[in-house]
Formats: sequence, C-alpha cells, structure tokens
Amino acid sequence: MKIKKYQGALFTKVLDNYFINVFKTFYFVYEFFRVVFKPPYHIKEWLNQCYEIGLKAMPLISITSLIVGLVFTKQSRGPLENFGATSWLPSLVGIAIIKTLGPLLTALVSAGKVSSGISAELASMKVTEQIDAMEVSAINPFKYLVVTRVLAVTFIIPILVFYCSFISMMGAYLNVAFYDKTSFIAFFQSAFSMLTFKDIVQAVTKSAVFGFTIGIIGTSKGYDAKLGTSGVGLAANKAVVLSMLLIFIEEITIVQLFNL
Amino acid sequence: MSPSSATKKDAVIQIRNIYKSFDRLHVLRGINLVLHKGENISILGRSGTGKSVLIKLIVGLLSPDKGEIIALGQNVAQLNKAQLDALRLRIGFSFQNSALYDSMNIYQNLAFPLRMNKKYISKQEMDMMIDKMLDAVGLRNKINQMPSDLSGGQKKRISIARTLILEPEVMLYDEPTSGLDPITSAEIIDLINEVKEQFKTSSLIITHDLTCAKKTSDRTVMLLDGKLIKDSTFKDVFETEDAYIKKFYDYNFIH
Repeated sequence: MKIKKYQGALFTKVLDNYFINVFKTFYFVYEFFRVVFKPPYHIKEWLNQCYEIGLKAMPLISITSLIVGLVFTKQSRGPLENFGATSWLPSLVGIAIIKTLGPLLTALVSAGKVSSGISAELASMKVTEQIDAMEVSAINPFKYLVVTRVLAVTFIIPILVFYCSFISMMGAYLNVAFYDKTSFIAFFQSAFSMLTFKDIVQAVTKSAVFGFTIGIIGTSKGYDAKLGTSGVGLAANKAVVLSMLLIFIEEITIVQLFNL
Repeated sequence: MSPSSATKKDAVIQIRNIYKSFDRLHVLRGINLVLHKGENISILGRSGTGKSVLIKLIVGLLSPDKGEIIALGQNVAQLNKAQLDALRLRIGFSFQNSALYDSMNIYQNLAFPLRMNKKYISKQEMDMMIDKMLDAVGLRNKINQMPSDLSGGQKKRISIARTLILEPEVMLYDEPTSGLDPITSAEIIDLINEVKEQFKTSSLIITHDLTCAKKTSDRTVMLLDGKLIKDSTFKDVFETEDAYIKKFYDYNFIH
C-alpha cells in the first residue's frame, strides 16, 4: 500500500516537472519573440556568435559529413547493382543528402556541439552571478545573451547545412569516381537532376527550424540553470538530449507537411 | 550620522516592513531600515539570515512578498522595466564572488556597462573613465588581463571599479571581504572608505567581518532569523548582554 502511494506521488511529481518544463520553454519562446524586434540590437555580439558557432562547428561537420557521404554511397551501391541501376546512384545520393541527411546530420552534430556549449556558457554565467551583474548594470541579459545566440544559430545552421551537404556530396563523389570513373560535372548534374525547388525550400526550412530549436533549448536550459556548478553539466546534458529529440520530431513533422 | 539625527528627507533607501520567503523558508520577516545620504551601514548576521536577499530586493533582482522598498525616492515594486533600469544605474552592486564577465578582459569588463548605457560616449572618453576607475582601485596595470588571471582581492577591486564606472549614488556591497586574507581585506576596507570619500556614495555593506563593519560603517545592523534585532553604532551594537550578539562578536575577534 505504502509503495503504491509512493509510486503515485513520484508519478505526480514527474508529471508536474514535465508540464512545468514545457510551460517554461514555451514562455521562453514567447519572451524571445516579445523582445527580438525591440531595440537595442546587439549586431556586434550577433556577428561574434555567428563566427564562433559557425567556425567552431565546421571541423566536426566536415569530417562527419564526408564520412556519411562516402559510406552512404558505398552501402547503396550494392543493392542498386543487383537491379542494374547504379546509374541512379548520384540521384539517390543527391535526394538523400540534400533533403534529409545534410540537415539532420548538421542539426545533430550542432545539437551536441553548439547547444551544449551555449547551455554550459549561460549556466556558468548564471551560477557565478554574471547574469545578475548585467541585470543590475541595466543591461538586458535576455536580449544580449539569449536573442543574439538564438538568432546566430538560426542563421548559421542553414549555411552549415549547405556546407555539410556539399562535403557529403564530395564524399559520395569519391566513391562514384573510384568505381564508375564519372566526371565531377556529370556526377553533380545527375545528383541534382531529381531535385526540385521545393526540395531546396524544404531543406532550408528544416535547417532554420532546427537552428532555432538548438538555440532556444541551449539558451533556455542554461539561463534557468540552478544547483551551482553541478547545474552547469546538468543544463548542458538536458540541452543536448532535448534538442536531439525535438530535431527528430520536427524532421518527421516538416516532411509530412511538405508531402501533404 | 546617528540614526536619530537623520531626517526622512535625506533617506536614500527606505526598507519598510519587508517579508520574503522561498517556498516554506521565511527568510525576511518584517525588516525596517533606512539608509541616509552619505551614510555607510553594515548588515551583520549569520549565513542564511537574508542579508544578500535584502540587497537583491533593493535592485529588483527579487521581489518582496510584503512591504515596500523606496530607493532614491522611487517605490521599486511599482517601476516598469525602463524605470527600474534607470534606478539601477544609480545603485551600484558589488557581488560576493565579483561576478566579472570571464569571457572579457578587464578593459572590456569596465567598458561593457558604459557601452551599453551611454550610447554616445566616445572611445577617448571611455578610455579616460576606465583609466580613472582602475587608478581608483590601484589596478591600472591589469587592464589587458583576463579575470581568471587575477587574485580574489584583485577581482573584488575590479568588481567595485566596474560598479563605480556608472557613477552610482548608492553602493551595495555583498560580503566584500569574504574569502580574503587579512591584508587584502584591509585593502578592500580602505577602498570602501575611499569610495565613500571620493565618490560621495551611501552604502549598505553585507558582511560577516566585524573589522570591516567597524571600520567602514556609521551604523551597524544585526539580523537574526530574518528579523532586525539591533540597529545602532558598532560600539552600541556590541555593548550588550544579548547572547547571540556576544557570541557573534567573540567568534570574530577571539577565534
């Protein structure tokens, strides 16, 4: 009887925390849109964040995307060969990378690298009272720290997606060139032949949504950090897990919407 | 200035019947306190008695459950964001752990509040003000260093300089000598007195350090369990038979 009561209380607490967190995140998003268009605009800090986020994520994205492009092409070659359809390989790779793999891979790598970085940075500022120090100096920390970072990630992720897709395609080309002796131009012509403008719009839309999610989750978990220094690690961890989960949910939702 | 000689007119901070709780923890229970122009008050009390909460209420970092705070003639609870920001520029807050921006060097730490609040300030003017403040705290040679390169005492000094650069009328010090050796503490105590002389500020000083309270304050206030139990000169506060106050005094000066 006692165990049942305890389980009930635990379930209620977990449910409570869940709804409180959902409310907090939505309130954070509301607050973002409330202040984003109001001056002052911290352009210099935004540019600084674009540079930091973009440049720091590039090496990791370069390596992962090259490998994914290469491996995906290699793995797809076998089944296509069985049907005598290897000539379709560049098109298949183009569709897969541009429409899904590029945006998803960039977003997941960025969720691990960027979201955790932002979250840990803000959480450490929170627990060392640097955010309070801004507040008492009449500086709006939300505007300076959160808005600039969210906008920077939202802007940079689509650019990184194009970069990631290009590097993945290069990886794919390495495989195709090795087996089929296809020229660089012929490969890209074939790869893009099956893609439409709608596919590009879908990729850009997804990338921007993923970027916004990574930015909002990273900043919100960091900004609300508690429990001293242990809160910093916890905030970074929560930011990565939640960003990744939301990215997958958004991926399926956007794909469904574009294919209605 | 003794409490009795002060008039209501020259009160810069008035704390009226303030209550503050966090969940079931009642931190402040009916605090009344007035800080007059040109006066330094030290607030003493054990950890967890709500000293830091009290000064956070003054700058609107926290809101009271009950009661009101009149800071520089304005009721803090009734101010909108812009008015609160304007008030905050007139009140300096020096944090317990210095709270220097660790991604910025010392120059940038001091320039940041200026850049954000004084839109039309020239680079030359800003540099002059930063040099002046660093001279005031005796750390001009650290201008290009990062906060992580500084000692605890130096961080406190830079934190005070960063606060002073906005030329506040009131200073709130949160444990300015905590975690410092006696010599560095003495330097910070001198600095607090110099700030009062040079910048004509009124101050609330949260501290456990009785030497700091004695040397920097015109009045000393003692908190116990969220209530103000004594408000007088340092000498008067500790000339008492109250067991708690005696214990506080003995532990500071004997142990």
